[in-house]
Amino acid sequence: MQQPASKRKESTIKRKKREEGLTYIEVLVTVVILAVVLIALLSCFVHGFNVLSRIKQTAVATQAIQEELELIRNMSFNDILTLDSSFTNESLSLLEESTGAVNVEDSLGDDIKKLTVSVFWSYRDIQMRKDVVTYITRKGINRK
Amino acid sequence: MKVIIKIERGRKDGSILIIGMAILSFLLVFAVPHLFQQSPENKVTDKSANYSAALSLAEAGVERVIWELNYGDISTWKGDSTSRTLTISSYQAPASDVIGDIEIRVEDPDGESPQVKSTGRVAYTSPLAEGKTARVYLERTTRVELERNGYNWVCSFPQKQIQIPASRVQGSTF
Repeated sequence: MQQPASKRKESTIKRKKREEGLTYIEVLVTVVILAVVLIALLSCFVHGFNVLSRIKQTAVATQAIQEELELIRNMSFNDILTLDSSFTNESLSLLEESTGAVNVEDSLGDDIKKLTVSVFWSYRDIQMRKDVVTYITRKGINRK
Repeated sequence: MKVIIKIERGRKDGSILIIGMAILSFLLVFAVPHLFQQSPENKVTDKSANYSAALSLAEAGVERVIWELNYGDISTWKGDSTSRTLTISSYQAPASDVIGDIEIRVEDPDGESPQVKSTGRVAYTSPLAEGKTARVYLERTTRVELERNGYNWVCSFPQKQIQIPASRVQGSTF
């Protein structure tokens, strides 16, 4: 038994409308899926680059401290006693809001000092710090 | 007038999802090694910084021995005339966390060529799987032989230089 022409036409339009709507939903779902995956992926990249940036800064700070320590070890003991409490070098310019500090402290006697070389810098509003401590004596390493 | 809207479906259905997923998979190929690389790099850098601090502590031990021999009294250290030891625990920077320990051993402290072995030890917290951490110590050791220079003891480094054959030197690292 055949349906009347008007009913056939109505059902065809309904089907077409449903098919068109389904395409929009498909696109919407696709966009949502892709957005979720893309955001997850991007956050991985962002986190990764942050970690790499922190690694680089730690390495630069360590290098700056080592440089300064070697310079101090090659100075005479009397020059060390009159050292500035801050230092700067090329490596430090790579760090944000960085300062280098040297602290010469009295230790066991007049001929031995406790030397601390520190680097402070800022990373995403967090204050970072690296220290290296050692002894320096009048007739010590590199001083004959 | 009849308007026929023909919607072509079939193989093109969902192609945007397939293409999107393909692009994301391509990005993922770069992202995954990048992520796996960070953890070891982070560890290596932290360890390198701590090894540097440990070496400074080891050198501090040598300086301490030189001071004791020149101006102090090494006989107050633990041991006898064949070897003496001193351990300095929690050697600390001002207004900072504990840096580490120094273990100093002097062989033949009363002789003509005391030999110093100084070990700097820095605590390092190593992250493990399942959120656990392991507290390990990173060590650097310095060995030197002291010699007299007039009335003072000084640190003597080997006089013989290490000769490296020219054929083995590559690049410009020296």
